[in-house]
Amino acid sequence: MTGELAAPHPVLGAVVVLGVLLIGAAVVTTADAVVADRVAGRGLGLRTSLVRPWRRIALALVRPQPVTERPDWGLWVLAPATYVGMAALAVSVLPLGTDWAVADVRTGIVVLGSAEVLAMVAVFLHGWAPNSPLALVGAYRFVAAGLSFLLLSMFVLIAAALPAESMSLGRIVASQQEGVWNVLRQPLGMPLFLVVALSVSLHGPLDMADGTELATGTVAESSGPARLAWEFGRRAMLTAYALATAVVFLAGPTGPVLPGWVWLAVKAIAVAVVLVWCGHRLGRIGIERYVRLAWTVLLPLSFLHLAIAGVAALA
Amino acid sequence: MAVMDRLRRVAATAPVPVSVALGHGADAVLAELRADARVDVTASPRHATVLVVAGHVPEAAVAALGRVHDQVPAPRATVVVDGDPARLDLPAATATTRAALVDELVRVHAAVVTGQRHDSPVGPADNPVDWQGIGPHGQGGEGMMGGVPWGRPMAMPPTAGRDGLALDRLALVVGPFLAVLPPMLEVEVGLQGDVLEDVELRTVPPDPHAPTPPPTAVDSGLVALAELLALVGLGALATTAARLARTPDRRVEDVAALRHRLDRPWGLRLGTDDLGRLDLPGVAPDPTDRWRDWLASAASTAVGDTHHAPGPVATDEVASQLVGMEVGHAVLTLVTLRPQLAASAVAPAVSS
Repeated sequence: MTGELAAPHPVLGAVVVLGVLLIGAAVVTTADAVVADRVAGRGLGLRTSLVRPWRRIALALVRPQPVTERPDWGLWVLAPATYVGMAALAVSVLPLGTDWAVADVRTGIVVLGSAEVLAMVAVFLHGWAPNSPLALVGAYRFVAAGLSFLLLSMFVLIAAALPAESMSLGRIVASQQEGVWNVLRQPLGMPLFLVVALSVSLHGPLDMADGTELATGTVAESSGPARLAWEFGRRAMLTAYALATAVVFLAGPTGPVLPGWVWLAVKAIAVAVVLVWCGHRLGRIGIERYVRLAWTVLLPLSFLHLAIAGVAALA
Repeated sequence: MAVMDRLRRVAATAPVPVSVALGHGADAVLAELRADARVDVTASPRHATVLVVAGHVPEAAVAALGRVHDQVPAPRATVVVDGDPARLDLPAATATTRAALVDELVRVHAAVVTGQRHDSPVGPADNPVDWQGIGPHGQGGEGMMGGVPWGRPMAMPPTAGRDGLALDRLALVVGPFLAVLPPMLEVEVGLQGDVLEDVELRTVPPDPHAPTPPPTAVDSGLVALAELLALVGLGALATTAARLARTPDRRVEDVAALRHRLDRPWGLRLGTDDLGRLDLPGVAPDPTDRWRDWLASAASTAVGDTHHAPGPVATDEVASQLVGMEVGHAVLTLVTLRPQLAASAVAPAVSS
């Protein structure tokens, strides 16, 4: 693999991205249900654990969306669409096979970073639109957290680009094939990027916008298909970041015998299961503690990580 | 239509999303619902199909209960546990017993989803205060930030010298049925962004001749722990805690196993360490120590020791210590005081 990737026809590319997000969201939902039932020790059996989420989806499809006092309907509809759109944007620049990506851009990590920034806008609008206080508090809280994890993401992605001497995600995969996978070459990078993945996808201990203590925050006023769309967006975003983690740190589609896309799927599913498991075992951290931890520990660590990667690239 | 009918039939078999409105002495019902896999306890009434009313709801809280009822999206249904729906102004509600509750919920949920049941709203169809309809945006006053639409204070009062950067104070009253708060607790706050500028806590006491709730074997500390776990996103572990809470002959090993899972820096402590210490008589200052006390108490009752119910706390002293906290942080703090606040609602403490 040279790092140069072929791109399918745009229409086919759009279908592929949508398919990846739908399958990814289904995998995350299933993993979440199975892990939850195992942690709870319900003893329901695997079949019941697998079926229950689909019944919940059917329920969401037949429930209505309540009307709040003077909501901004336009933004309320646009927010989940934008959030899913940002997950799609992130997936579109990732190498999904050994020699192809939906959009092979030379500045792939910049596109990934842009998706995070615009996801922050989508989450804020989702909290703003219902005209409800707890939803709005969730929105503000996510913006406060966002400023912390966006810098983290930037440093980690730049560090991954240094050995590849390129911001192309295809080149980053190629550099791992030629040398050592980034998970070993840059050991701080993957844990820091997983923090970003949990934060931007509103999952587990870093779900700052939709926490239960805010009666589920930005989603507190949503029901029926509107809530389903938002929950799909969260899982689609987790899928995008599980794939991005696999590409940036686990050499993406690289692997013997099996096709590249199979290897990528296996690695991304493993990352997603780890993230889902974290959500059921780690308590949600308070926003003040999170911001303090981000600025005093995680950001200095990410800067150190970048400095080490820079020195290694020059050596 | 055939597709929708098929969807409705599948939806009817989904776990029942219930919003729980808790009165006094309803811990047993809450533990029952959290522990049962056929039920999902929701944090917002918007996510529910059925409202469950449990415990003694005082007369003073009946109007608030009606508002929660109407927040469950239609079609909806209400189930009252061991109570009289008519007394609660919910004439269409189903009355049931604690023993039959979950079976009844499954039946009522299926009826709601398949279109055979819908409880009408009990409040007015529109807001009781007319929309003023004046101003350039219909907001009820002059200028973008003028007016008080529907009599509700806005986050943007007309303050002199605004620089466009500082957020304005938002006045907010939540409770006494907010699912994430201890039961019968009403909180009036002034928010600056997500920070509490001023706080007033009010508990709604039982009616003078309210029936004494029957004694149960449910451990109120473990119920509080289940609620705390649900609050920090550990819903699956909340199920485990609730199951232990309702087990009369719980084993000390099971309590120890739960503590082993929670009492580690990356477990529940990730959510409760560094929450800030409280200076209240009879209450552990550290929030992590408060839930450790619940587990220690559950372990000691499991080996046959007598359970000592926690005493009440003075709500004004709690309120004064919440000022300056972030709103989620304050809610977590209140949940770690759940047993004491429940005692305060029945027999208020006097400030020291």
